[in-house]
This record gives sequence, structure tokens and C-alpha cells, in this order.
Amino acid sequence: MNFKNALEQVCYETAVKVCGGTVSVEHNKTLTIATAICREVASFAGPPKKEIDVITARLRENPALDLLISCKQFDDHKAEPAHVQEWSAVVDTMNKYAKDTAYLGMVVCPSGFTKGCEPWATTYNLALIPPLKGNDMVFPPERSIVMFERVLRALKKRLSFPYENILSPPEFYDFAFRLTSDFEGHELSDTTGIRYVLTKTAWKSSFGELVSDLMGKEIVDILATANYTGLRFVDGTVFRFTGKAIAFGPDDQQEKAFQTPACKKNLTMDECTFEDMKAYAIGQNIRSAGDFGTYFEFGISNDINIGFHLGAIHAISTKNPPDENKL
Amino acid sequence: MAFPIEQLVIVGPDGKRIDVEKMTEKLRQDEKRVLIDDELGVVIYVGDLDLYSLKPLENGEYLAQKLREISRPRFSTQLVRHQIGPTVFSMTADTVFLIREEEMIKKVRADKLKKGITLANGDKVFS
Repeated sequence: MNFKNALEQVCYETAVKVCGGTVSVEHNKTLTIATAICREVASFAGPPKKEIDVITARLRENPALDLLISCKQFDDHKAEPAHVQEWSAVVDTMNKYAKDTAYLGMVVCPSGFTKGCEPWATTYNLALIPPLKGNDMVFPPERSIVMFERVLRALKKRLSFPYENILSPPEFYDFAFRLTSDFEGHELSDTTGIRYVLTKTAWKSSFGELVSDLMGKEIVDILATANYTGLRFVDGTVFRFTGKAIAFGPDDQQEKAFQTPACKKNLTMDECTFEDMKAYAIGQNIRSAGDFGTYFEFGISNDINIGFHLGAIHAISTKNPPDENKL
Repeated sequence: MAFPIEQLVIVGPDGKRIDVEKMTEKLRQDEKRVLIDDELGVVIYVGDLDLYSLKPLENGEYLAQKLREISRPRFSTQLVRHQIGPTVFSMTADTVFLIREEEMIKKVRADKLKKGITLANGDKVFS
């Protein structure tokens, strides 16, 4: 199979991954866009003919619904209203003359869209990938493919429910926007590097998610190996501090050989034993959390803060005055 | 986008308020409804459940809007806080507002809303 460019190839392969063998690519397909009285075109020589390159993905049968995808690969500029307008005319014409098949349209342009594209996309119900977010944010090109796959997967499942509203402008535009707009938060979190990760999936996470996931949980064990220190909770979830990264979530059985950590207590960092640490922590619930960079500290329900370093654990009573409330 | 999930007021067909957290966790078990569940978050179809989200109005009443999906992003955008008319809202930075500029209606993100701007519906932004 021939492809016009790398973007078309990767979009096709992604669509095949989601929709199976119902995806096709056509090049230089001739389409009579509309009559000259139609407002989007004006011609002195009768209805204009357009040559288009299109990826068609059949999303469902009986009644049939096809997604017409236009791939715009521009290295140094964004797609302009004319590109979206052209695809609007294509999808509109296809719907106008279709007997049993409904068509939805999508334009994928990893370099983004200029602001004037939005009115055309909303009026003609086209999905734009990446989304127009009203700021100057530029998504990495590969992220557009992730967005494309996300929208396709969600759309396939969405069509198993009544979907007539999706066919009316601007519902499909909005649907794709809702599924892709949260990439902004994901991109912005990239700037701080990957500090928090979920166990099992290795998905990037955040301090906020860690807190909402672990808050209130009861500690059943303290973990300590050469690679991390951490906690195990009553519901089987774990917390692991490795120095640079913090992993939490369902236990993915990465247990390594136990290695006794250095154990310190009180503000004066007095020596204590691992058994002391267990006695302080086990059976208590998480009440607060703080990431101090080189170590991570939890506030637990017996008014103790327990801190995790790589190879060490500390415990400090939070009761005042500190000298009279030493552990 | 729009309002954080903690601020969503969702009611069922009987008008009774529904706990969004509990409902989301329950519906998440129904594979067919989960449109997507990935690194970005979860989106669940609820269009057939007759659920409505309530938006507070100036007169103290609520505008009910039918819910089609519930989205729980894992990386929501930054939150901003504005007083619009008499009400103070917390919303995500990418929430879109319509403002009137001379004869034009323009879309503005919540993080670009300025004190003194009048929205297209006549509400003034006070902070």
C-alpha cells in the first residue's frame, strides 16, 4: 500500500488497530464538491471537482457510519481555515448524496490549527486533532496520534449507544474536543519530569493522585529493600520511594530481598530499630503527605510523621513541645 | 475541562442528588459504558441514565443540563477562580467564555478572563 506521507501511514495503521480491516486509503479520489450555488464554493465553470486523499474507517454497519479522515502534514505551519473548509465540503457532499451511509469527518494536523478553523469545524461537525485550546500550546506530533487513537476507540464504543446526536453539529466536534482537551494537563505535567508513577501500568501520575489514592488507608507493613523503602496498605496497594521516583498503586509483586534500612527517630535523629518503626506505623492510617524531594513523609493517625529515604526511614512525633513528646 | 468534579451537582430523574464519586466507581465496572480508561483518565457514557448536571443561576435556581458522559481526567488543567455576577466559581483554566467586544463575540479561556470584562450574556467579571 502506498502512502502520501508518514502521517497518513501512521494514521492508517492506528485506524486499522482500532477498527480492524474496515479501513481503506484512497488517493486522488475525484469528488464533485457541490453545485455553484452552494455557499462554500463559487466557480465560473460549473461544480468544481476536487482530488482528495482520504482514509475511510467504517465504524459500524446497519446503518453504516464511516469516518472520513484527512491527514495534513505541514512541517512549518498550522492548518488554515481553507483546509478545514475543504474537508467540510467533502463530508457535506458525501452526506448529501449518501443513501444508507452517514459520514463523520476528522482532520488530523499535528502542527495544529489556526483559530479561524474552529467555526468551520463546529458548523460542519468535524473533529480536529489536536484540539484548538485557545492558547499557544503546541503538542508534540506523536501526541496527536495518541489523541487520534483515543478518539477512535471512544467513538467505536460510543456508537453502541444511541448516537443520532453525534451526527448533528457541533456534537462530534465537541465529543473529540472533550476526549483530547485533557492532554493539556498531561503535557504541562511533563515539564516537571516523571516523579510519580503508577505501579503495574507505569502510567505517569501526580502528587494529587497519590494523596487521593492513599489518604485514609491503613498501613499493614513497611517495605525496605536496596532499591526502595515504602509501605503496604490493608487493601493490597503499595507505596515505594526509590529516591528519584515514587511508585504507588496495586502491588505488582516487585518485592526484592529485604534490606534493613537505617532507622532514626525524633528531630535529633536518634538511632532506633526497624521493629520500632513497625510499631509506630502498622495499624495507623494515612492523614497527610509531603514530598520533600530527597525524602517523602506521611502524617499518620497517631500524630507521627514517618519519612521515607532511599535506605533509611525516620519517625518524628508532631506533638508539642517536641522535647516532652519524644518517641 | 470546565468545572472540577468535586463541584459537579448531578441529579437523577427523581431530582435527588447523586454522589458522583460513588456513581463513577460503580459505572466503571460496566465495561460497555467505559468509552476510554487510560493514562489520561476515564470517560463513561451516561446518556441513557437520565442524569442532569445542575448549573447555579443568579436567582438561586439551577439550570439542568442532560449529561451524556462523565469524565474524570487524571491530569486536569490548572484551576482558576472568578467572581462572575454574584457567584464565585472555581473552574479549569481551559473553560471557555463568550465575551462581547464591540460588535464581535469572542471566545476567551477562563485563565484569560480579566476583571471588568462583560460576558456575552451580560454578566460582569468582578475578579
